[in-house]
Amino acid sequence: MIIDVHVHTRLGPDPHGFAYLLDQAAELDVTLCVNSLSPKDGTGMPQSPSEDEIRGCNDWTAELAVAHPERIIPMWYLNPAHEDFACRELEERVAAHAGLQGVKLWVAVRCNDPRLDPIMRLCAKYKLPVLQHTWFKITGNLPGESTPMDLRELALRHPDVSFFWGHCGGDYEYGAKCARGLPNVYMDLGGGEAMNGYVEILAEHESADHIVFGSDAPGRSLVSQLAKVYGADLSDEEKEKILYGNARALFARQERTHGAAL
Amino acid sequence: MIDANAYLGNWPFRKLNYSTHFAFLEKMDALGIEKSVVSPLENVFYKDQLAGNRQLHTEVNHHPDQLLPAYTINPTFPGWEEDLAICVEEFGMRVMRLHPNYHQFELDSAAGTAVLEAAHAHDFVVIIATGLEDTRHHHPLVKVPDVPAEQVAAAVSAYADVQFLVAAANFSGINAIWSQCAPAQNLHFEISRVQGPVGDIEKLCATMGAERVLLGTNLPLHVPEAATLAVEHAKITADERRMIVKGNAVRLFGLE
Repeated sequence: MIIDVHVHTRLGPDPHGFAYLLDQAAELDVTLCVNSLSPKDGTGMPQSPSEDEIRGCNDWTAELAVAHPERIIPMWYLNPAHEDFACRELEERVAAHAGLQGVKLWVAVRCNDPRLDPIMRLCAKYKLPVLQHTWFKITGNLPGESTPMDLRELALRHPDVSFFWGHCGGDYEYGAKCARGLPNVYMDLGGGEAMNGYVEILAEHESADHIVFGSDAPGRSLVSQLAKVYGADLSDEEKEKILYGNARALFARQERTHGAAL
Repeated sequence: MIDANAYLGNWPFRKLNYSTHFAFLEKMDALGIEKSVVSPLENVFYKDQLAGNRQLHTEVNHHPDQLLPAYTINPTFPGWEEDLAICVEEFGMRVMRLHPNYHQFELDSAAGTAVLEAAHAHDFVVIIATGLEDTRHHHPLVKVPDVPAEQVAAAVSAYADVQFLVAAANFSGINAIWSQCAPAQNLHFEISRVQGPVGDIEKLCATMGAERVLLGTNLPLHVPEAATLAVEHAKITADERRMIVKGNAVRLFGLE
């Protein structure tokens, strides 16, 4: 079994991408933690979505989670710039969804911004893991795009919240160093190219106990991202933790709280 | 399987697994790769390409059944024509690799035209490495954009008798090149940096035909399983799979 903590819905030029992904996930026995960055009826992925757009994104996620309860864990997408609305939206989604769930934050606001704090307190209350996008780009970040350094600040400020460290910081060498020594972070492998030594560097600095499998599908293929783990110079036990055990243990905390099951 | 795109050697920016030829060959065996087309990775940054090519010739001579050399030529460096002659006469060169972006020439410049004329005259297979790794993660002192798609497409169109392999382009890069010179019969792509979107290999086969698509790993920069698993799990026919992992490379490189 595998848990993929980083999966998107997708509109645009390839409406069949998600159906293909569901088929492949069934073949490979992958549970998908899905977030929508686009409303189902929309056309783009706004960097700072409106309240209506956020509702539309999460409606689509909820619809998929209801349609595929055996395969999908919803990750509620929030825009911290909305402050009170973001918290209300999260409370409503948690109340309405009976199963395992988490939160997704993207590029609306850099994650060291204090506007994240009320959302983080709710995530601690409900034991929701937070998938926070990070990327350090030598070509320049988007205005609200978090760096690995930003996420280190947030993770230190909220030690009672567990974070999936989106894309391992993009440039995983930066991410690996920024995450060092933080007990509440889990490096998400998804999205970057499968570079030789990628997972080994993370395991050296964070240990395999703090790495989780993510794909960033359907923009990335599942198998190219699985190759990062399968091709890594690690033990079978370490690979099992990365592919399943670590994420499973995090979601198990919700099972104890809410009675939901994987 | 045949790996149509790999390198031997070291990379200045981080430690790599499989950078020694012993470890490289061991990894090939583990993956079931019978033969790899290899170039010296150091030649991306060496000024004198002949130095790296000589080293490659020595290493390949120890493993002629497993390694097919693709010698690198930089047409902006003095004396490249004489160095190319050495590669042909002493090393038996049949495959030429170009790094237009790292070696700072345009394919339609005087230097680019001269090296492509030489490739035509010698009937080389030409590998154009359009990129090596994600440009967002380059070292701050070495930011190198990928080779523009229109330059590659123009070269492929201008030299219809030369067989080209585009190496280490991503999915959008491949489609950008193909859309500008389709249905070029002399153009092939390897898949090391495709890595998505879902259904990527199927889409490439549908767009250009499986006969244009080759297995490539970009070892030791990338994890080779990204390419081998992509082909293994693609929803394509058994014939298409055989073409991608071996048949197309046998035809393109004239292998037995």
